[in-house]
Amino acid sequence: MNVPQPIPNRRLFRGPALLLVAILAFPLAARGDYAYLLPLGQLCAIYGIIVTGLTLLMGFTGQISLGHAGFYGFGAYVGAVAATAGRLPVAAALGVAVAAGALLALAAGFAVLRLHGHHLALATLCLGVILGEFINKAQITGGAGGMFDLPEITLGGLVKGSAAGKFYLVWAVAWLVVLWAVQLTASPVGRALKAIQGDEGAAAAAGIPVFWIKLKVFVISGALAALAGTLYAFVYTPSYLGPEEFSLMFSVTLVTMAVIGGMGNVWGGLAGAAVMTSLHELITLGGEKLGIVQVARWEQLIFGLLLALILIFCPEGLMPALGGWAQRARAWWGRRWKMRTRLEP
Amino acid sequence: MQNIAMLLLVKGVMIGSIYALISLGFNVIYRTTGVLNFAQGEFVMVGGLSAAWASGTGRVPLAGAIGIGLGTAAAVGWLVDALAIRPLRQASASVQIIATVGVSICLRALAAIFWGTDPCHLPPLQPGSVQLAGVAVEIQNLWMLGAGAVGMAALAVGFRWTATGRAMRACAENPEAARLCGVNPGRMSALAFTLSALLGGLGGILLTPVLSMSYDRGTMLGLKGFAAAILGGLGHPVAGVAGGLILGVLEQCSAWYSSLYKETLALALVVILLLLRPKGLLAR
Amino acid sequence: MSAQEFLVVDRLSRDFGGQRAVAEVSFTLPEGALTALIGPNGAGKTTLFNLVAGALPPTSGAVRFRGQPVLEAAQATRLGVARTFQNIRLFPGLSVLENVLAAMGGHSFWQGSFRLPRRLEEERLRLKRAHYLLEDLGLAHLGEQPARTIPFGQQRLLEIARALALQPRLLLLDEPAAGLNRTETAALAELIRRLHGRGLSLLLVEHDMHLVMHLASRVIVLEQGRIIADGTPAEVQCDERVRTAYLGPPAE
Repeated sequence: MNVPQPIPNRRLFRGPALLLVAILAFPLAARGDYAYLLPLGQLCAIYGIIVTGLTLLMGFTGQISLGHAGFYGFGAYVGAVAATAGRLPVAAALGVAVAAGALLALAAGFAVLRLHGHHLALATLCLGVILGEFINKAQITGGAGGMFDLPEITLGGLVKGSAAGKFYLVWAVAWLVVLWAVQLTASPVGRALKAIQGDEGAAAAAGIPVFWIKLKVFVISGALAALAGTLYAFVYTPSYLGPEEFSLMFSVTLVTMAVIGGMGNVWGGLAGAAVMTSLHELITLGGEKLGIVQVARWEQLIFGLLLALILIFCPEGLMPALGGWAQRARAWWGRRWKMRTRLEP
Repeated sequence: MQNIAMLLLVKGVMIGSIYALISLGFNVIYRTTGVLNFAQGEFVMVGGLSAAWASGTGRVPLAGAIGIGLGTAAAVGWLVDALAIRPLRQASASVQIIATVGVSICLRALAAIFWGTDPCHLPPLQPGSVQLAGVAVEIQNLWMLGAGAVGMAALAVGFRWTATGRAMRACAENPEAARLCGVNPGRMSALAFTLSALLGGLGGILLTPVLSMSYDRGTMLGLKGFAAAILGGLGHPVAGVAGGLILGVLEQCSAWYSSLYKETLALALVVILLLLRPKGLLAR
Repeated sequence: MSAQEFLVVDRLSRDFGGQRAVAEVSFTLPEGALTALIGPNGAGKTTLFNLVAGALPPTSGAVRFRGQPVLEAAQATRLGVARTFQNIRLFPGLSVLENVLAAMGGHSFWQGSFRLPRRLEEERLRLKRAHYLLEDLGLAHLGEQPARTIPFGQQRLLEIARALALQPRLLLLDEPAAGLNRTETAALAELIRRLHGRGLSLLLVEHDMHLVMHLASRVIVLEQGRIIADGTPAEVQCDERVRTAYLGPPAE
C-alpha cells in the first residue's frame, strides 16, 4: 500500500489563483450600466473577510458566535474615533482598530470560551448586543446619528474616489485573508480545529491544547471582523458611518452566510457571503426588470423565502452541493463518453 | 428606598412573566424537536399585532380580538413547521436553526406588509390598578403574571402526565426510538410549533396593551425569551420560567440604574450569571 | 531518575458534589510494567483513570510522571502519558488517517500559515509515520474512510493507534476489550503483549478477568474509591476482600 501524500500545492492554490483572476476581471466587466456592481463587490469582500474568520471558528472549531457584528462594529468605530478624535493617520487608526478588536476578542474569549453550545451562543449574542448598544448610544460614536466625513484610505492617491480602485483594495485584503486561511486549514492546525469540533475531550487526549487553540481562533476571527469594520468605515462609506450596519440581526446574517455556503471549508464561507450580499441586489434588480413597483416592500420576504429554498435544496450548504452536482455531471459525461467510444470503434 | 426596590421587583416580575412565556415556547420546541426556534419572538409579534388589528377595526369585541390573535399565532406556528421545518427534517440542527432565521425574516416582512410599520395598540383586558405591597400595579400586569403561571402549570402537567406530552419528550430524546414506539415525530413537531406559537401569541396579546407592538419588536423579545430559556438551562421549562423572571428583574434594576444602558447592563449580568453557572441556573 | 519515579500517584482524591469517587489513593508504577486496575462497577476506576491522564483536576493529592506533575490532559500527553476512552471517542468528521495525524502535533498557527517546502516535508513525514502505524495495527486499508463508518472493533484499534501516535511512555487503556468478540479480544491481547514487548508501560482498566489475569503482572483492586488489594494476579485472586467485593460476603 502506498504512503499517502499531502495535498499538492498545485491543487491547494488553484482556488486562490482562480479567485485572483476573477477579482482582476470583475471591474472590467462591471462598467457602464453595471458600475453599481462595484460597491456591491466591495461589500462582498468585507463580509467575506468576516465570514472567513467565522468559518474557522464555527465550521472548523465548532464554536458558535452570535456576536460578530459587535466585533465588526467595534473595529469600524475604534478606527473612526482614532482617526477623527485621536487624529491618527488612517493606516495607524486601522492598526489600532484591528489590535483593539483582537484584544477585545482575547478578553471576551477568555471568559466565554469555557461555555459550550447554546450557552456560548447566548453569551456571544449578549456580547454582540452590548457592543451594538454602545455604538448606538455612546457620545463618542455619534450615537444613532453616526459619524460623518471620515478620512479615506487612498494609498497615496492611488484609489482616491474610484469605485474600481476601492474594489481592488478591499479584495486585495480579502484575497490575502483567504490565501492565508486556505493554507492554515490545509495544515495540521486545520485538523486540530476539526478534532476540537469533533470531541474536545478526545482532542485534549490527542495532545491538542484545546482552550488555547479555541482562544486563538476566537481572537483571529475577532481581529478579522474588526479589520473588515475598518475597511467598511475607511473605504466603503467614509462619508457616513452609522450604527444600523452592526445590529444583532447582522450577527445572525453573518452566521447564515457561513452556514448556507457550507460550513467545513473556506470557500463555502466566501460563497455564502457573496450570495447573501448580492441576493438583495438581485431581488431589487429582478423586481425592476419585471416591473413590480413596490419591490422594496417585498424584498425582505423574498429574501427570507430564497434563504429557506437554498436550505431545503442544499441542506449541506452551497459549496458541497455544487461539488456534488459537478461530480454527478462529470460521472454522467463520463458514461456518455464511454458509450460513444464503444459505439464508434 | 424599600418602595423602589418593591416597585422594581414587581415590574420586573410582570415583564419577566412575558419572557417566561416566550422561554416556555422555546422549550416546548426544543424538547420536542431539538431545534432552537429563532422565530419565537415573531410569534409574539404576530399574536399581538393580529389582536390589535382585529380590535382596531372596531367590529370585534376584545374577547374576539384575543381569540383572533391566538388563532393567528397558532396557525402561523403550524405553517412554519409545515413549510420550513418539515422539509428539513433530515438536515442538521444548525441548518434547521438557520431555517427558523429565514422564517423570522419572512414573518417580519409579512407583518410589515399586512399591518404596516407603525406601532399598534390594544386596550387592556381590564383597566385600573390595585395596591400591592405599597405599589400601584395595573391589573393588566396581574393578568400577565397569572397567564404566565397558568401556562407554565398547564405545560408542566401536560408534558409530564399526558400521553402526548410523554410522546413529545420521547421525540427529542430519540426520534428513531419514538417512531418505533408508534409516535409520529412529524405530528409532534407540528404540535410543538403550534403550541409554542400559541404561548408566544398569548405573551404578545398580554404585552401589547402595556408596551404597544410593531412588526420589528419580535426580535428583541425573542432574544429575551432565548436568554431566559438558556439562563434557566435549556430543556427545563420550569427553570426557563425562573430565568424569565430573573431577567425581568435584572432589566428593571438596570433601567433604574441607567435608563440609557439598560440592555447592556441586563445582558452583561446575564453573561456573568452564565459564567458563574455554566450549566444553567437551576442545574445540579 | 530511579524506576520508582515513573508514575507516582500520591494520596489522590476526587469528589463529585459531596460524593467521594476516589479517596486517598496512592500507588507507584515502575517503568515497563503492565498493570491492571480492576474493581466492581462504580468503584472509581474511570475517575482514577481520568485523574492520572490529567482529564480531571483532583480535589486533593497529585499525580507525578517521571518527576513532573500531571496538571492537564494535553500537558500529560507531552510528558508521555496517552490514553483511550471507555466509550470510544474518535473525531467523527475526520478520516481514519486524519484521526491518527491529529495526535502528531504541528499545531503552531504561525507555521501553519505558510506552506513552505519545510512544512510540506514535515507533513510527509507525519503521513508516513501515521501510515505505518495504521499498517502495524491492520487499519491502513481504511485510511481514507470517515472514522465513524468503520466497524466497532476497528474503532477501538484506531483509538489505540491515535494514542500511540503520541509516542507515549505510558499507555492508559480504559476497558479496551469492552464490546469486542472473542477473536477481537484475542487479537487485542496479542497487540497489548506486542506493545509491552517493545518497552511500553501500560495501565489498563478491564472487566474481562480472563484477559486481566493472563496479561497483567500486577493487579490493583479498587472498591468505593479505595485500593483494597495490590499484587500479582494470583495473590489478588485469593484475597478475601476482593472476593467479597466482587461476589458479596461469603454465605454462612
